[in-house]
Amino acid sequence: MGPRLRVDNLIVELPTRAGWIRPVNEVSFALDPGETLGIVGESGSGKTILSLALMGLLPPGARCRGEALLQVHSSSTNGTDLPTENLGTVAQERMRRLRGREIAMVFQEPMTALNPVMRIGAQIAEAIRIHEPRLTKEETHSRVMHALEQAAVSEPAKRARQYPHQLSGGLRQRTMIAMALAAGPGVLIADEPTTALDVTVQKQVLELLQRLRCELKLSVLFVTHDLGVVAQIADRVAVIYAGRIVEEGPTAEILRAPRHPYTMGLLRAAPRLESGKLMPIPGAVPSLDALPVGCAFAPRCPSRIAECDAAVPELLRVNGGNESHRTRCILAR
Amino acid sequence: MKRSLRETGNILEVRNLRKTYPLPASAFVNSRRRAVAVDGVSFTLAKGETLGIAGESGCGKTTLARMLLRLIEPDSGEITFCGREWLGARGSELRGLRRRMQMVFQDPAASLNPRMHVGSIVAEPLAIHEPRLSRDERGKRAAEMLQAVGLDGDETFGRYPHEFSGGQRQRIGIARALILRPELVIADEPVSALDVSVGAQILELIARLQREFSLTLILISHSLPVIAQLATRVAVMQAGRFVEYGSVEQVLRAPEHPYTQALLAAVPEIPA
Repeated sequence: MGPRLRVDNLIVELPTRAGWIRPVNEVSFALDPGETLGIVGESGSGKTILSLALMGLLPPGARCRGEALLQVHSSSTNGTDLPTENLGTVAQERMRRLRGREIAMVFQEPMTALNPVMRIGAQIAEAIRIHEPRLTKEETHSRVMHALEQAAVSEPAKRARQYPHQLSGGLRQRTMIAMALAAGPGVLIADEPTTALDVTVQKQVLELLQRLRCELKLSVLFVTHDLGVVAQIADRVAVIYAGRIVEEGPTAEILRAPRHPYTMGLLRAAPRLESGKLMPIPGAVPSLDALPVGCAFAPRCPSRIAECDAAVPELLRVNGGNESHRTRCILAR
Repeated sequence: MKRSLRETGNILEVRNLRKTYPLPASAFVNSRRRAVAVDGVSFTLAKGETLGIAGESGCGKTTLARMLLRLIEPDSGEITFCGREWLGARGSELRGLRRRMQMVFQDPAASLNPRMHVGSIVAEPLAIHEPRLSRDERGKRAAEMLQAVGLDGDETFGRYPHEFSGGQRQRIGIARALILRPELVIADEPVSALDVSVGAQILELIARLQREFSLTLILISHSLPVIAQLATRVAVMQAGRFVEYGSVEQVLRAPEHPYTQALLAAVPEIPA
């Protein structure tokens, strides 16, 4: 069957006053049905541009090349031979048919993503009708109820008649998830969906996503800066720095035995309940228009040697780890 | 007879602080119902301590912080600050006490005036509280404070907030809070808006400055791990009340209240 989403050497370039920058630089990964891949990065890493590229929502002027092959189930005849579309090069018109139906996204701030003057039932109905315009009113209504129930929204009939501002943060986020999944996509991109939520509400939303992943065999791309969240929800993790994946592999192994100094730095800098000594990473994330010739992390790296500055290291398998554990550090091999 | 600061060693004593807000009147109810934001909070703070106040949104922690600073007035309760009756203070006594308590805000972008350059922002409290200082003197002290928070004083002085990253702006906010050499600093979610590695730098900075300037600190955060990093004692707040209050060790290792237990259980931990 192959992976539901296969990204191969994806490059996104944006024009800035200082020249072209590459917030997504030779990024490759694959997502199988029912799998969650965590994308970990801080501000300026390019993680959001990656999500937008996959959704065909890049800002005007952006250039995109490489492949992002999405299996399209809605146009398959027998359900096993699935054609693919390249999200990197697909035309806008075609993308509009794929967005929501095959691949959908939930964002960090539900209050800005939801229409404040429309009842949420109507918003979910809108998301369904765009792709299935021939449904009757009754059919649409029952699909809306189903979407809300699936997102564990209690009293769905009551909630459907409410406006976003009448819901708590957690309920709004569930509404967004209901809306995103209403047309039955196979891939869900969640960009920091729980960052703005209280920790107890976050736990509920993460549990919901886990359940949906199992029930619907949903593939999830979960973008976050929070390593604790990634530990809870992702099977595999890719750590992004300055537009490139610098480490990837099974979550448990990456968190237990990271091999890239940036990943190690992130783990040491994360506050934990056992108050050990917090070790910040010195320096700051480089600006994408002023990247060094060699390894982008070298200027902040405690293990830096001369070869690090010569060229950008390749993403290669670490020695002694799981075969899918790879890193861009010449010292880890 | 109120005991002086020297006797108790407590820089802050809060007794039964309460704040309510009117709810919109219902057509069927005569009396206006009130929402209780802070419901009888009491605690003491010894000089040099770090108290963490943990709670989720809507628990009343920000309202509590604002009442401590007298940015809003409580409905009832008492506060003794530096041995003086804080809520009744007026005029020059109020001004004198005000400078001894300062706040660091959550959103570095929103708390710095975008139309003032950084030097002026950091020097502004001096202009208000030490009017006899010359402009040059104020500038010099501001530049020194910027150095103390890890920025290049000369380099950053003439620039505007938008030219800086979130972490740098938070440092500027801290510089502004410390320029009057306060004794008590309230930090309201100081790292929530920042990335992990930047937040770690700011927490380390706050810890260092606390030692250097002998500060007493109240750290408000929804993140128990952040509080575990800096605080010695913690109060867990829910629906306007402290539901649990004790040493960080105690509360995190053996929480008694179900809400504290739920909060701890919900923290997504990185496996050790």
